[in-house]
Amino acid sequence: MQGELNIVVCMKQVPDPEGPSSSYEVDSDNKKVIPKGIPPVMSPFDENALEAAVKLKEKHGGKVTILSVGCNLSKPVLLKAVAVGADEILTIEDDSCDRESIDGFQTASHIAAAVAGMERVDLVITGRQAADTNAGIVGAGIAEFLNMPLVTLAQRIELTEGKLNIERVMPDGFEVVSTTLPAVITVSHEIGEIRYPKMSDIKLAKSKPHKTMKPSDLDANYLKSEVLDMTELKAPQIERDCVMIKGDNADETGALLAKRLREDKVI
Amino acid sequence: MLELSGEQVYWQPHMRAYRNRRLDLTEKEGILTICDIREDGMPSALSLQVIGIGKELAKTSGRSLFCVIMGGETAPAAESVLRYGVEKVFCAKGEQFRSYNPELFSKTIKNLCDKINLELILLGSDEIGMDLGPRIAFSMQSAVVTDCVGLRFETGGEIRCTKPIYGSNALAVYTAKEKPMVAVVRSGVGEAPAEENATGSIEDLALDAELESRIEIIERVKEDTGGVRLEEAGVVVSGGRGIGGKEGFESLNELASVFGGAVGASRPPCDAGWITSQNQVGITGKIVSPNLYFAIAISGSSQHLSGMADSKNIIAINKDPDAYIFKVAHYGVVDDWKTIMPAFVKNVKELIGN
Repeated sequence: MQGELNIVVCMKQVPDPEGPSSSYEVDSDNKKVIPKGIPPVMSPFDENALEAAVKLKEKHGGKVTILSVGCNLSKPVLLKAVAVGADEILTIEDDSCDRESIDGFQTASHIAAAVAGMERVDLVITGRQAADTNAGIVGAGIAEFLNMPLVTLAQRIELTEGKLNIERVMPDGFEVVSTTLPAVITVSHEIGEIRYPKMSDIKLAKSKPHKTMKPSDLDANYLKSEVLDMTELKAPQIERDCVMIKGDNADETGALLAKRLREDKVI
Repeated sequence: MLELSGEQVYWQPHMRAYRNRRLDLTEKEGILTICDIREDGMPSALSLQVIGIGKELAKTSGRSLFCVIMGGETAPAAESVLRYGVEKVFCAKGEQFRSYNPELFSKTIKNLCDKINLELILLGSDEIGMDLGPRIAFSMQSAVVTDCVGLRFETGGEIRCTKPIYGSNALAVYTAKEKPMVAVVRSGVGEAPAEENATGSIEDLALDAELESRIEIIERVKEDTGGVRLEEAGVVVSGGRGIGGKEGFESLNELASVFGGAVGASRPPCDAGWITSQNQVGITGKIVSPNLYFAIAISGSSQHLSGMADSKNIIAINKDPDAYIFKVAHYGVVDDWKTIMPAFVKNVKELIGN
């Protein structure tokens, strides 16, 4: 790899996942989840991805482009991301890109088409999964459609002598893997929280380039139709009648709990 | 020997009376389970759960149940899965498969899938399955559902796959427009089937000599989480912010060891460094559904609940009577966990000992 790094960070806007359960209304008839009183935010793992990209840029120089696919994307959310250290924004926006009408397969094809249309991209980084669907498939799709190597669940990214060394989360620890550029990486939260933007950068963010495209502007060779069909959407029934155990003192409560669990054949 | 890279294919005589050289092995569409092997060479507990689901689906839908195993040594695992009712096990054996390499594994499975008629591919959701499942699906341009908590065949024969979305605040049911559908199944959703007499056969896959990976595995680093893997544990004892420190987790460990279970945590103790992030249960950590889940000093954030709400029995201990965790718990105690624990552990030991 010569010179500076061109990094694309794919970020999805989602209803704030820290919102209470009551803020998600499930509309089964229209197969939609309607967020109530919670603002859109960048999906948390995508924030981790942005942080990873900014760190790489600080070390190696280059440019970070934020790429977001959606419908009526929130401008403040995009600007906040830019303020953290990105250089430009590319949004793919259209009614057809609404979160309810596009699946991960299509989103990945849109991103691949947009990246293919850019001058030179060394790295595409995104979160391990989005906080709304929690699918974690878009990274794999981008890599497949662009024929780039993919490393998922990264917790640390190093670039030495043109090669990527990546620590990847594993069931019982982590592994260190090496691959070449250009590549696609999905990151896990272990890689680090997003930094707070400086006031001066927040002001500057508005002056950074923001390009908007429609799916119809993209190279149609990359675009795919959806492969998943949602047939049903329902609200889960998780509220239970909790059996409360209470004795006269803590020792008795502990003993009663054990006995009750045994009686109910739970232990 | 099944030749994956070329056209020339033949069957060993003892297998089945297929005389044609084409690899249309069945007229009926099959279900392929992907089996991960442990260090001792046997199928992982999660893989057996996946086979259990595959077996049920195969039985109810009249489809064939296949399994693929990749590893340095595959025979013990292959013989084992045959006893769980798999009709045919495909083995990719070789040094290059001794540890997980994303591209070698996904390409090997893709090559196999190109040769057999499949409706569904099942694998378990851990850090390997989450990586492998989408790769396989995209390489075949087919559909994938990750973190799947339910699977069924409709009467018409269409597969339906259930997945929680929006932090488990909604359950979506999906069907595939492109087959085979790949389903990455959450741990604890299936059960290992009962062992029976093996009637299936083992097929060694001839490996594609040109198989290459752009990803090189440099090293594996193990982080000790204290024995039992969280996703496989039948009992999980988890602590939250109210545990207060590393010492607190020692007492949780004592309770967990009584059951041969694992210790988990919500996010704050992991962020505070009281316990490794390997132990984190939640949407950004491990998703578990053990038979018994202790939520101790855990308030029940949406992010944590998404990782454990499907546990069969949830016991919550919390000082705060309004803690959200009591809404999902089956049994609850409102008190300081430290005062409850000694008597509880003592009584559990006595009862289990009996």
